[in-house]
Amino acid sequence: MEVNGNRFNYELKIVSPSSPLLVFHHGGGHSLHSFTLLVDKLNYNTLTFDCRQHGQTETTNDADLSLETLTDDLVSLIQKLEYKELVLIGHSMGAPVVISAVPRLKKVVGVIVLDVVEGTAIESLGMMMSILMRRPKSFKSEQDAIEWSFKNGGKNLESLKISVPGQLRKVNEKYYWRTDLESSKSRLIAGWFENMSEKFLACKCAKLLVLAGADRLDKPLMIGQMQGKFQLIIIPESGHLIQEDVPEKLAVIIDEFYKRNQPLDISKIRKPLH
Amino acid sequence: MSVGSLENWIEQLKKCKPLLEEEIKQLCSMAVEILVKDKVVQKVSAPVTICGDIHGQFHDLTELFNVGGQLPDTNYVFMGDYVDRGYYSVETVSLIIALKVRFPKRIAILRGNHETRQISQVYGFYDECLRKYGSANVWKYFTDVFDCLPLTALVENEIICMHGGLSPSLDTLDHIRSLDRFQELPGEGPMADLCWSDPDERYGWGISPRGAGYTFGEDISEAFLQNNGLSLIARAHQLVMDGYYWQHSGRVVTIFSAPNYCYRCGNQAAIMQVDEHRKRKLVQFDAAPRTEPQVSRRTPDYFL
Ligand SMILES: [Mn+2]
Repeated sequence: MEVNGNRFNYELKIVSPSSPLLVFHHGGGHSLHSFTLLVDKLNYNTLTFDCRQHGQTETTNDADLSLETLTDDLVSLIQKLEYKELVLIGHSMGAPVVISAVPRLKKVVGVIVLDVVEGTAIESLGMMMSILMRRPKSFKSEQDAIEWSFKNGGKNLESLKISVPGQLRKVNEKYYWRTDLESSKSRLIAGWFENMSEKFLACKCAKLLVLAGADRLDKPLMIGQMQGKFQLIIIPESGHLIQEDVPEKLAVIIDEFYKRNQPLDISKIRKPLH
Repeated sequence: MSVGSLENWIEQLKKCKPLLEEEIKQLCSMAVEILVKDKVVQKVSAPVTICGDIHGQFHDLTELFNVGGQLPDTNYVFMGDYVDRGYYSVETVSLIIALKVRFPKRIAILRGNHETRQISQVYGFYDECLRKYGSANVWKYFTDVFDCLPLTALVENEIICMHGGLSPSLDTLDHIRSLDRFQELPGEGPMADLCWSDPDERYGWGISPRGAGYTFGEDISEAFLQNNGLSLIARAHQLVMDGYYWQHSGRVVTIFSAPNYCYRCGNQAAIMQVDEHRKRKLVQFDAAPRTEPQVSRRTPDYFL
């Protein structure tokens, strides 16, 4: 898809004219293939795409990974499509992007955040930067990169076989990371997450936060959760790549979330008593 | 089991010292015997003090008893959510259950949405049991007790107490009485609604943003109270910054008894005292002064 002179690599799956459109934004360094297995298991219309400086997308200014630009890209892409209703799903760095897009789009019925919380992300920024610095600069083969990813967080080899090649670029017989995250200034990364919790709570649509591992809400989310403002699901057995680690489980969660938030039919919610 | 050793357990628990696994097993089986006799709608007489969420904040529970009075001199209704999130779920729920066993007629303990296997497994209680006892046995004993907790309390035919709120399937107290409560809390249906629903400013029934239970408006509260000849719904489940919050023109009160929730929310806590003349008084209290263990939230090592 062409937007403002930029060519975005995307996959649009249409199963039915009555289905809502689920739009997925991957995290930093990943590509649309992070969602491939998940999307396969969803009987919904879906849009996945490679964001700026990721996957096979080519833009006139690849270096600009600011939240504003990523949000503009997402909004422009969606506005090119026809849809009945929208559900936006963001993984990790993709979460602040979809949250920022919600107020700018029509007919958004739900927003889903996958495994990121502002407070804990900013807290662990230093550690994350050093993890980025330590990762290998290149691999001899895609297979090597897949194995490395399996040893470093990914839990589902089947998913990694599909997703890892999308994160790489082949130059002179070697495989390099497609996205230069190491040089992203930590200030830029912190900027993605700033005020994310408040903006999430302010979304007028249905809201779901899915966390891997353990409960680690920051203060605004803790208060919001204890006031019943959004749905929280914790998947202890999953790692950070929820959509890759447990795609079947996440597909069921997304399906139930959409269905539960359909307009209420009072005759159907009264359960017969025995 | 003699009253003497039960007294010893309570004394030990009041110092925030957990019982042995074998003692928990004994305590829980005694609790089950007592709780099965409680009704789904457990009748309670005034004077009584009604309390909301505790969530493992043991030192604040101690503060609650300091402010509200000790058992058996003060009668209590606890509206659930004893475990999860705080650091002392084991000590907290042990003490509350021990008090129930020691003074069964003086204290009613209701079920909250955290008194379930599904929720307590991911929000801290399960891990705490593993940490403090080295196995999940203790968690199993406690969750068997949870299956027996009553869902509502009825104070002097005036105040209905429950953890969450109303259910579109339950119009009358007799409907509630017809529930078969001895089971893991289902994810949906009337039992779940009682533990999950929230009052709302919008009229009618609404979809709960929590993903469980429903929201109910003032019209729903009014109809329920009128149909059943009651005057007030007292419930917990939502953090309210003053510890209590009135809604629906005084028909619904939320009571939250975990001050500075999760050691970082900055809220006050409250309890509601109903005296022998059925006059109601809300009493606020702050977090107990203490040094907490270093707050070590598990931070992710990667989040891009
Ligand atoms: Mn609750």
